[in-house]
Amino acid sequence: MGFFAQRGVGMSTQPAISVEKLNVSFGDSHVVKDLSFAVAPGESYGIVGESGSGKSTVLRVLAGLNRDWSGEANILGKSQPKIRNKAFYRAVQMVFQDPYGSLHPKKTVDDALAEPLAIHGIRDAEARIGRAMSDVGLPGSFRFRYPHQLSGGQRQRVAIARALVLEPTILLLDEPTSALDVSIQAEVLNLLQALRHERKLTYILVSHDLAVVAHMCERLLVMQFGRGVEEMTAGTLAARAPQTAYAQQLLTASEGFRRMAG
Amino acid sequence: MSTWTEYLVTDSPASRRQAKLGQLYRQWLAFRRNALAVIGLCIVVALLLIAAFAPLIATQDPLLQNLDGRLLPPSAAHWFGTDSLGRDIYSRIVYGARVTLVIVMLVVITVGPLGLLIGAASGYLGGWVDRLLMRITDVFLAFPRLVLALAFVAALGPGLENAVIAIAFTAWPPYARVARAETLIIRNQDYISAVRLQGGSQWRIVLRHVVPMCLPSLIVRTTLDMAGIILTAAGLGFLGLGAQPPIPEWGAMISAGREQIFDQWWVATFPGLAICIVALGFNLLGDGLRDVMDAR
Amino acid sequence: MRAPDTPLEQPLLELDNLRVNFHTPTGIVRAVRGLSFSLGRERLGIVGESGSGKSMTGRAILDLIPYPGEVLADRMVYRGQDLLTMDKRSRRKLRGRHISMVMQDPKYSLNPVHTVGEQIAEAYRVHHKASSREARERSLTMLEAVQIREPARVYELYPHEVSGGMGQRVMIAMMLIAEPDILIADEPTSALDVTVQLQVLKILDDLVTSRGMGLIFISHDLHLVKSFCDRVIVMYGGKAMETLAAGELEQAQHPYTRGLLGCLPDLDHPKATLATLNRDPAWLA
Repeated sequence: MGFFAQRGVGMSTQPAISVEKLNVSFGDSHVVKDLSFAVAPGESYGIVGESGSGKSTVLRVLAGLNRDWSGEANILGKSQPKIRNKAFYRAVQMVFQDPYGSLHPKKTVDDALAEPLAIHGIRDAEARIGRAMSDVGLPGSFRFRYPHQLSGGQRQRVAIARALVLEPTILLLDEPTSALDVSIQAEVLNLLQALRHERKLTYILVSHDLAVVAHMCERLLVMQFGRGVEEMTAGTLAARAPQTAYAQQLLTASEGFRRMAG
Repeated sequence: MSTWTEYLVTDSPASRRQAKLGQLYRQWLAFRRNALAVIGLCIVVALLLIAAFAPLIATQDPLLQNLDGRLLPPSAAHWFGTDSLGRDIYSRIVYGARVTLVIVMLVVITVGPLGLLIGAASGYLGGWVDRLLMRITDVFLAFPRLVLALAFVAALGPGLENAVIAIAFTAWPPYARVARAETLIIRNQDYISAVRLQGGSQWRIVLRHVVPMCLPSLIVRTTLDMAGIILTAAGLGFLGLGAQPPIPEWGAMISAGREQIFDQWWVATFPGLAICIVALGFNLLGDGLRDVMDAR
Repeated sequence: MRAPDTPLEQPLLELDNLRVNFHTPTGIVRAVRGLSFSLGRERLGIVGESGSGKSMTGRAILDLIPYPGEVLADRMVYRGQDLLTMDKRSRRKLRGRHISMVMQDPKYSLNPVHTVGEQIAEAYRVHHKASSREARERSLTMLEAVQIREPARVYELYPHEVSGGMGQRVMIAMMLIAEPDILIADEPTSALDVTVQLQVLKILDDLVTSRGMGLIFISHDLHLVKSFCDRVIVMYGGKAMETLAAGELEQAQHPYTRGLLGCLPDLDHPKATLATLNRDPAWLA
C-alpha cells in the first residue's frame, strides 16, 4: 500500500496525515490490517467501506480515541504516541455520525461550545462562541437551547461548530450526514465544503455513500475486512473505472436495484 | 403570569439561567399531570411544613410528662391520646417529623454524593479501580441492611447520630451500583468521546459530563429509598438503638407503645400511621420523578 | 404460490382521506393529513423525509398507531372488508395473517431469548393449526426461500448470532410464512450494507412477484424506490405531493420531488455546491 503515497496528488509537500502499516485488534478480531495512506495538507480524503471494514476504527485511532493499535501514525509532521497531548486536540477534531448521540442531552449549545474553550483556557470565549455559531449558520437565538430543542441538521451544525471552535487544521468526519435527510445532508455537505475552502482545512471523510465521497473528496480509499483494497481519485470513480472487483461491486450496488430480465 | 410562562417556555432562551429554568418548568408541567405524584409531593411538603412550624402546630410540649394523665384515649384535649408517661402523642408526632427529616437529610447528603462518586469513578475509570471499589461494594451488599446497621450501631453505641452514620454506611452500595451501571453506558457515548477529543481530563469528564447524566436516576432512587431509610431509622429506634428517650422519634414511640398495644391501641398506632404516610409520600414522589427525569 | 382468488382489477387495499392525529398537551400533531391511494398486486413505494408521515401510514394500515394517536379515514378497505368498522380482535387476526410488516432493524424486532427458527415456526402456528413438526418443516422451507444456505443450522441460531443481512432475511421469512396478501416494508434495508441490501431486495422482489402480493415499500431513498418499485407516492408533511410511475421519477413535476432529486450528490453530474431545498408552505395548504 505504501506506493499509494507517492502516486497521490499534491504529495510534493509533507503530508498532513500519513499512516504506515496500521494494525488494530480488539481481542481476537483483527479489524485493521497493514493499512497505509497519506493525506496532503488541504486535501479531502475519503474512506469508503461497508460495516466491519474498519473505516471508522481508522478515524478513531487518528483521533486518539482508540489506543490498541500498532504501526506509524504521523500527523502534522509528528509521529503520534498512543496518548495525545492538549496541543494535538487543538489541531485535530472530529465530527461524529449520530447527531442525536454526540451532544450531551443536559447541556445547551452554549455549554457544548464553551467546554473546549474552558479546557484549553481560551479567554475570548464569548466572541468565539458567537463566531462559531454564525460560521455554521446557527442563529444566535439557538445559543441556550438544549439538544432536544434542535432538529437533526441543527444538531450536526452544533457538532461542527464544537469541532471548529478550537480552530483545528484537520477535521475527521465519521459519516457526518448518514443520519440526516437528503435535503439536510445537502446543506451540511455544502457547509463542510465552504468551511474547508475558507479555513484551508484537511478532511478525512468516512462514509458508506460513494456519491457523497465523490462529491466531497479528491481521492478515496476503498476498504474491506480491514484492508485497503484500492485507492483512487474521485475522477476514476465517476468514470466507473476502479481496478478491483470489490470497488466495482460497491459502485454497481450503489446505483440501485436492478431487476433481471424475465 | 402569562409573561412568566412565556419567559419559561420560549424556544430561544437568552441566558443560561432562562434555559435552565425553562427546562425545570417543562419538567414541572409533566410532573403535574401525574396525580399520584402530586399527592406524594403534597405529603412531603406537609412534612417539611410540620417540621418547620412544629412549635406552632403542636398543642403541648412533647417532653412534658403528666403522670396523672397517663394512657388517655384520643380526646379533644389530646387528639391522639397520651402515652405511658402522659405525654401528648400528637405533639410528639409533630416534633418527631423534625427527627425524621434530620435523619433523612443527613443520610441523603452523605449517601447520594458518596455512592454517585464511587459508582461513576468505578464505571468510567474501569480496570483495578473498578475491581477494588466494586468488591468493597459487594462486601456491603452481602449483608441485610438492618443487620449491618445494627452491627455498626452496636460498635458505635446507640444514639441518633450513630444511627444516621450506620444507615449511611449501609445505604450507599446500591447507589454506587446504579451509578456504575449508568456510567458504563454513558462512557461509550459520542458526547463523552467528544470531550475526550477536546483534551478534557478524566476527572473533568466524570464530574462535569458523566455525573449529570447519572443524577436523575440517583435522585429518583434516593426518593424511593427515603421510605426504606425512614423504616430503618424507625427499626433502629424500635430496637432502642436509634434515637434515645426522651427524643420523640416515631420508631421509638411505637416501641414504647408495644406493651400497651392491645389495651391502649393509640400509643403505637399513630406513630405507625405517620411512618406509613411519609414513606408512602416519598414513594409516590419518587415514582413521579422517575417518569419526568428518566425520560430521555 | 397461490392463485389470486380475486380479479386483479379489484384493489387489495383502498384508502381514502387517511388521517393520523396525535393529541399532545401542546396541541394536535397531524402526522398524516388526508392520504388516499389504492394498492393492487404491485410494488408501491412511499418516499419522504423524516416526519413526512410515511411510517405512520404503514402503521395506520396495521392498526399499530401508539397512544395518544388516532386514525381517521373516509374509507379503509381490505379486499372488501371495511377496516374502520372491524373490531380490534379481527384487526389483530388480519395482521400477520393477511397484512404483514417488516421493520427497519431486525435487531429490535426479534426476540433475543428464542432461536430464529422457533420464532418463524411460532409465527406460522399463530395463524395455522399445525403440529410443531409441520411448523418446523414450513420454517425450514421458508428459510430456504429467503436464500439462507444452511436452513437447519440457522434455525438453531439466536438473533445475536446472525448478521444484519441474515437477520433481515429471517424477518422476511417470518412475515411471509403466513402468506399474507400485503407486505408493508418500512425501510427494510436501511440498516444494511449496500451489497447486502440488494440481495435482500432481490429476495423480497422474487417473493412478491411469485406470490402475487401487494408490497408497500416505505423508504427515504429515492434512487432505491425508483429502481425497485412500480409506482411511487412522494410524501411531505403528512400529504402526498404527487403519485407517479417509478420510471417517470426523473421527470417529476412537483417542486418538492424535483428538490429532493436535486440535492443528492450525483456521480455523473458533479457540482461545486449541492442544490438545497426550499420548502413552500403552500405545499401543505
